[in-house]
Formats: sequence, structure tokens, C-alpha cells
Amino acid sequence: MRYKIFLIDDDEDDRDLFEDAISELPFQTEIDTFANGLDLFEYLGAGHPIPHLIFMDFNMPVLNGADCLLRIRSEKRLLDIPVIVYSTIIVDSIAKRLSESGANQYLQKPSSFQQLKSMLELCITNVLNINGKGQGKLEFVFREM
Amino acid sequence: MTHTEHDMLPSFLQGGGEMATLIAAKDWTTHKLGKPETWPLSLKISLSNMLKSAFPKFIWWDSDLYCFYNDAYRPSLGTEGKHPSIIGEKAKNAWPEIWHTIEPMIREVLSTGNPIFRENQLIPINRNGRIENVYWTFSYSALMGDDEKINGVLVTCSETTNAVLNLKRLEESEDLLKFSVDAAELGTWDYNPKTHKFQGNKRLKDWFGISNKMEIDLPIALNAILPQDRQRVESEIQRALNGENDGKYDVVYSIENKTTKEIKIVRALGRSWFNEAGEAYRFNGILQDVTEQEKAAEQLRYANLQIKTEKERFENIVRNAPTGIAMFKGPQLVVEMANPTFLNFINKKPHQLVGKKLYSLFPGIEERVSPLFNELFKSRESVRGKEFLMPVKRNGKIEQAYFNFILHPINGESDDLLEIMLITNEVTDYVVAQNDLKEKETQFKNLVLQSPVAKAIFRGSDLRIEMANNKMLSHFWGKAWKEIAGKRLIDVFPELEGQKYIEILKDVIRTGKSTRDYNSQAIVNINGQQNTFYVNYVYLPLREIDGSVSGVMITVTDVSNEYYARQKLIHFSKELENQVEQRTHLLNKANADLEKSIKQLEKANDELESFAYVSSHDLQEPLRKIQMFTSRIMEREGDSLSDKGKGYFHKITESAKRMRSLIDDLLAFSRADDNSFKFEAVDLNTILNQIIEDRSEYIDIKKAEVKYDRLPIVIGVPFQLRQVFDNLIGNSLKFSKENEIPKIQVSYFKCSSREINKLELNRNLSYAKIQVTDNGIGFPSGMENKIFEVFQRSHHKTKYGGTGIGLAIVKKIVLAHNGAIVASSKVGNGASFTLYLPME
Repeated sequence: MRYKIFLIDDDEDDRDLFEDAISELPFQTEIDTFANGLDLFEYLGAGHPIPHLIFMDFNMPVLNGADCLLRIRSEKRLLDIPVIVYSTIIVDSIAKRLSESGANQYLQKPSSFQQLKSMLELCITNVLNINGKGQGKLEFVFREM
Repeated sequence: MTHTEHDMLPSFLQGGGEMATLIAAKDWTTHKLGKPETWPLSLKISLSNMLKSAFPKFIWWDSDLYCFYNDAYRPSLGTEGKHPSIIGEKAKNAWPEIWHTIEPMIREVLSTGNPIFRENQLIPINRNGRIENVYWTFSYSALMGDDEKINGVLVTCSETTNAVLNLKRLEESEDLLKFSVDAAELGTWDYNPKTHKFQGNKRLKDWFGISNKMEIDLPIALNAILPQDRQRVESEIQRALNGENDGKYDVVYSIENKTTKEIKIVRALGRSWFNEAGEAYRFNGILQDVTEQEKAAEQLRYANLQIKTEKERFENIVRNAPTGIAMFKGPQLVVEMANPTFLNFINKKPHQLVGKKLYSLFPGIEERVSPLFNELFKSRESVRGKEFLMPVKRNGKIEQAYFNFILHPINGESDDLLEIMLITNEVTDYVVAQNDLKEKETQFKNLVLQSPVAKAIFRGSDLRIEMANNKMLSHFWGKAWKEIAGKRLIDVFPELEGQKYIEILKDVIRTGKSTRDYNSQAIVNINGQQNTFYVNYVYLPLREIDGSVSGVMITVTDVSNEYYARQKLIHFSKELENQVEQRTHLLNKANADLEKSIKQLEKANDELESFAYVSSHDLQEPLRKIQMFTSRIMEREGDSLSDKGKGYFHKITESAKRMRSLIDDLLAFSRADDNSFKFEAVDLNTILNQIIEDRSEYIDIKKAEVKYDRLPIVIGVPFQLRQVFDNLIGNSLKFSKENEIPKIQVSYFKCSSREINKLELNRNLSYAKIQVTDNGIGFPSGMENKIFEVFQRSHHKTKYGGTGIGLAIVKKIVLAHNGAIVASSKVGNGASFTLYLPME
């Protein structure tokens, strides 16, 4: 099984690190990255297949994470795709808002590559229920240890 | 002797009566005719014929017209006058008074021989001593002399004076009758029963409306009589014609002129005339217009009837009048009549009164009543008595009854005949009520006079002082009652001129509306000194029975003391108000300044918060990348680094970590009083459990003991309260003594209201008092407040670490929860933090 994963992040470094970390994880993935939400919708609007999972930065220019999420959840085709919001800092009030808007996870960008790998593995396994290891073992807010 | 004389008479004179004798006796010797024996034969024959005639005759003879007349003529000469002197006398001398009348006739007969005849001619003659109007019917005829020539005139005459005068009188009488009939405006009528013809004068025909023909049929005349009268008139006529009541006829009836429709009432008077056979041949009389009389009579009858009715009515009124009426007569005042009401008043029967003298009936009243009767007798005018007391026996006991009465004189030419009508009403109830009223009035007056509240009464539009009580006199007016009684208010207090009171009092009398005022200034001069009062007053209109307002009663209360006190208070209040106003002004300014500062502060705060957020985020990004890429270097290139290099990389990593936590804390602090979080019930036991579990690794490392009581449920934001207790417990673990097992105790106490007041907490809330105590290094005394400030450290930075923001966050959160936190410690003796948090 090859998992198709989208990442939307305006930070090129983070996109690179994310791809590096994903590539080292023990399951097959296919990554598509977008610098902002508009690019994503343009891409999807062009008839490309939908992904299994979307990671999305919160602080983005043009269309920020929250607005992007709302738009995803308003399209029937994208309604059931898991969305993990991915941000440098976790703010409780934002966490609440995101949960209500239909995000599956609020993930803190960690400060070490090892942590990034382990957190992404946990997250993806959990959300996509890979090998039966998902089903809500993680809390919605997932901070760096 | 007669025989002798007779014998002596010449033959032609014999049988010639007295006049023959007188002729013979006359001395003719000197007369132109000479002695009778010598007279011519023609004369002797004429004289003899004349003297022997029984009809009055007269002869003038010869040219001198010597007079001769016979016995029949003799009376026409009267008693005194020409007889017998004119015998043989010349006509001219014998009839001087008529000579001018008779001479022409005599000359005519003498000259022509034709006779003359005159009937009823007035020829006045001198007889009976005067000239009389005598009417004659006579003839003059010629007499022949011996020479067969006319030598004398024979007069044959008859005096018709009586016949003429009778005829004249008859004519005059007819005229008079006609005049009377006309003057009396009478109609005349004349009916012939044989011919059934009816005649009437013009007036009658006019009345009957029948044409002025000479004669009319009776039925036509009767037709004018109104139907209701006709039968009666016809039978009356029949009765008269039948000779009843000597044929007299007298009937009144109404007729209508069919043309003019005029109706008249007429009276017909007349009689029937009968011939020897007893048959009526004439029925005549007059008709009188009695319309006016009949009408007057009708009016009179009506008036009489009215008088009778009025009299009956009057008697009825007197009998039934609710007023007592009695009549007295003469100076003795004999009772003539008394109506039932009067009898009832005095409880008497008619027979006890009528015919008796008043004073004999009621001897007790003479002294009081006689002056009134005397006055009446003197003046002949009505006199009145009011509320006259008269003891009357009623229901077996004597009662004091009161009467009003009028005595009225009637028909009094002399005192003896004078009738006096007494009209009286009993007014006992009124008098008794009046007396009661007077008694009550007196009581009221006394009450008013002795009232501790000043009162006075003014009467009339000029406000005369009728009453003023003692309080009014002594307190307000400073006057004695005698000085002012009945005087005009304005005269007693000229100083009221220009003050409002006189006008207001007059208004009350004019409008009848009461008025009142409070704290009204009144200025009155007392003993030459001007006194100013402040008064409350009520002016009440006093009404007469008819509702008109005749006066005003005033009630006045002196409130001068209260007024002045209030004025002082008002003055003081105003002063105070001014001060308050000034202070308020300053306060407002300060408030405005403060508000401005707060706004600026809020703005700064907002800026700070957004700055904090943005900075914490944007600062962390590069920091994270430093860490990220440092870790990548260590992982990938670590083996090629020297130990020293590895040590430097470790320091980079640690510094970055410290900076991250610093940024996190700053963010937390900036959001500590964010009021957008929802308050909810928070179980502190749960919070504390989580903290101990989260920190279990650290607690284990420190070998610390953390104990807590059963904690309450408080009101707050869960994650913030968690942050508070996490920070406090974190601090206690961190600032523990190196050689001692850290002991941390979380205790729960009830919070007293004294503490709530002291800490200036919200008194409407109940608070939980929670104490976190440790046995750590503590902090120096005097730092109790300082330690809650940002970046205030009590201990060495590197030794204990931390950002220096933790307690500031704690305090900020607690305050945002309407709570309080107090710290206490002694260096080396542990620290204690007491939290006050609101409970449900």
C-alpha cells in the first residue's frame, strides 16, 4: 500500500525536512507538497486524485490553515480526508477551533529531526490506522516531548 | 128793569144780546153816526143780522170803519183790552197793532166788493193786557148802504188759536218721537194682522238685512231670527195678538243679517191694538239693539260666577291652608273665624274661640301682643311678629311653641268695624334648631378662640374682622380684640398693602375656592416694630345657606423657626453642593485621564499581546530550525566532531531550549488574563492528579513527597488553573534543599469573610483558600510582593534555571479569576503560597 500524502506549507525548509522524515518512515508514501492552499485547490480542481492524508501548516500566507480546513470540509470529495494541522506553536484556543472545524490532529512542529520522524510515524499510523495501530490512541493536540 | 131797558131799545137792536144793550147804552150824541134811531136802514139791518148770529161776527161801517161786534165775537177780545171801548170806534184806532195787516184786506173788499177768506192766519191782537198770538179763520165781505153802494165790511170769523196750537204741538211731538227713535237707535215696526204685512224703519230693515221696500211679509222678517230663538218669538207674537197680558209684547232674541252675517241681540217692545170686536188690527212697537248690554250682562254673569268661584276657592284655601288663619274684629279683637290649622296650632275647638275676645282667651299674651295691634289700629297697615313664644297645651302637657305671624287690616273705616286677619306659621322646629345652632356656634366659637392654632374670620368683600382667636391676637397681631373688632383688615394692618394676602382673601370670597400656602412670608407691624413671619396658612370660604360666600376663615401656623432652619440647611447644602461639584469636576478630570491611560494601556497591552504571539511564533520558527539543523548535524556529522565541538553543539542546543521555554512563558503570561476563555467548574483534585502524573519523573528524581487534601471545585479556566498549580509545584520542586527530601503539601481551608474583606475580594462570592507549602529554600522576607513581578528572581539563575515569569503568570491568572495570592517565607525555612479562588 502506497499512501498518498499532501503537505501544504509555505516554509521550504520545513517541506524538505518533512519529506526527508517521511521518506525514512517504514511505510510507502507518495508526497505532494504545495506552498499554499490555493495551489492545493488548483491542483485538485484540475482533476488530480485526492490524497489519503493532508498535512497543513497553520500560519500561511494567502489562505491560512483554518480557512483551508474549512474549505476542505466544505467539499464533498474532500470531506472524509484526514487533515493534520501542523504548527510551530500550539495555542489552546486555536486547538479548540480546529477540532470544531473538523481537523483530525493538531501537531507541533518539533525541534529535532528524530522527534519529527517519531511524531510523524505515530501520527500517520494513528490517523490512517496502519496495521491496526490507530483508532484514537493519540490526543488531538500532539506536542513535542 | 130788564123789561124796561128792553122796552127802551130801538127795534133793530131788540134780541141782539148783550152787545145790543151796550150799543144802545153808548152815548151817540156826539158821534158822527148820531143816535141809533137815526142810523141808515142798511146799517140797522146789518147790525140786527149780526147781533142775532151765533157765529162770531164783526162790522166796520162807513168810511171811518166804525166797529160793531156780536156776543159770539166778544170772547176773542179777552178780558182786558178793547171790549167794550171799541164799539163805534174807528178801526184804525181800535186795531192799531194789526192795522197794517187788515187795512189792505178791508180796502180791497170796499173797493172791489169781492170777499176775502183766510184760514188759520196769525193775527196777534192786544187782549188780556198783552199782545197775544191769535189764529183766525175769517172772511171779509162787503155791506151795502142805503145808497146801494158799498159802505161797510162784514167780518165773519172764528178764532182757531187752540186748534192751530194743538196741531203744532202734535207735529212737534211727532218730530220729538222721531228724534227719540233715531237718537236711541231704535228700530220701529208695525204689523197688520189682517194683511200680514210688516213695516219697519230703515234701521230695522238694515238689521234684518231686508230690502227697503215699503212692506214685507212677516215670515221674511222672522227668517232673520236665529233658529234657536224663532219658535219663542213666534209664540210671543201669537200671545200678544191673542190679547194676553193686555197685548203687551216684550221679547229678546238674536237676529242675523244674511248679507253682512252680523248678529245682533235685540229687544222687541210693543203691543197689539184691538177693535171693539176684540180683534187685533195692529201690532207695533220698537226694536232695541241690546247686543252690548247682553254681552255686558253675560260678562257680568261670568264675572259674578268667577267671584263666586273665587270666593269658594278662597274659603277652601283658608280652610285647607297649612298656614294658620284667623279673623278678629274691632278693638276687642273678637274672634270671627279660625281655620283648622290655626285651631290645631293652639289646640282649641271652634266653639271655644269664635265670638270670644282674644285676650280673654289668652290673657298671657296681651302685654306682648297689644303693642302690635295698637300699631295696626293706628297705621292701618300690616304688622309682623317673629318667633313669638306661645305656650300651648299639646298631648296633655304645655309646650313652648313659636310662631311667625302677620296681622293684616281689612275693611276698617272705623275701629269698631276693623277686621284683622292673622296669618301664622309655627316655627318651633326652626327656633329650636336655631337655638341649637347658636349653642353649637358658641361652642365652636369658644373652641376656635381657645385653639392653640391662630384663627380668624373676615366678613364681606372689605374683610371686616369678625373674629380672631387669642393665639392670632397675641402671636401674630399683637393687638387686643377691642382695638380691632369689626374693623377692616387693611385699616388695622396698613402694611398689608402691597402684600399678597388681601388679594388672596378677596379671591377666596369671590371664587369660593379655598387656598393654602406654605412658608409664606408675612410682614406685620407689632407695636411699631416690623415683624417678619413665615407661615403656613389655609383660607376657607364661609358660605351662607344660599351658597354665596360671605366670609373667609383663616388658619395660620408660624413656621418661621423651621423656615430659618431650613434656609440654613439649604445654604449649607448649596455650599456642600458647590464643593461636591468642584470635587466631581476634579474627579471627572482624573477619571478622564485615567480612562485615557487605561485606553493607552489597553492599546499597549493589545499590541503587547499580538506582539507576544507573533514574536513567540516567529521567534520560535528560526529557533526550531536551529535546533532541527543542529540535531541533523549531530546525527549525520557527529562522529567527525571533536569532543570540544560536540560540547559547543550541546550548548547551542541547551540555549535554544532555554530560549524556547522563555518564549513559551512570555506567551503564556501575555494570555494569562485573556477573558475570552470560558469559566467553568474545575475539580482541583483532577488538576493536581494530572500535574503529579506529568511530573512523576521529576518527582521521582527529586525523591519528593507531594501530599494534598481533598480539594474543592472552583470556578475557572481549566488549563489556566493547571498552569497555576503546575508552576507552584514546579517551583517547590525546583527550589528544594539539596540535603533534604522535598515535602510539598497542598491544603484546603474555609475562607473567612474577614479575609475576603481584608484582601478586597468580591463579597458576593465564596472563596476556597488553598495553601501550597514546601520545605525548600524559601525567599527573603520583604520579597513577598516582588517575587510576583516579571523577571524578578530571588535566586541564582544558572543554579535554579527558569524564566522568571512563572509566578507573574500565576498571579495574573489568579487575579483574572477574581482571586488573590499571598506568598510568605523565611530564607531557608520553606515557602508558602496561599491562593483564594472563587467557588460555586
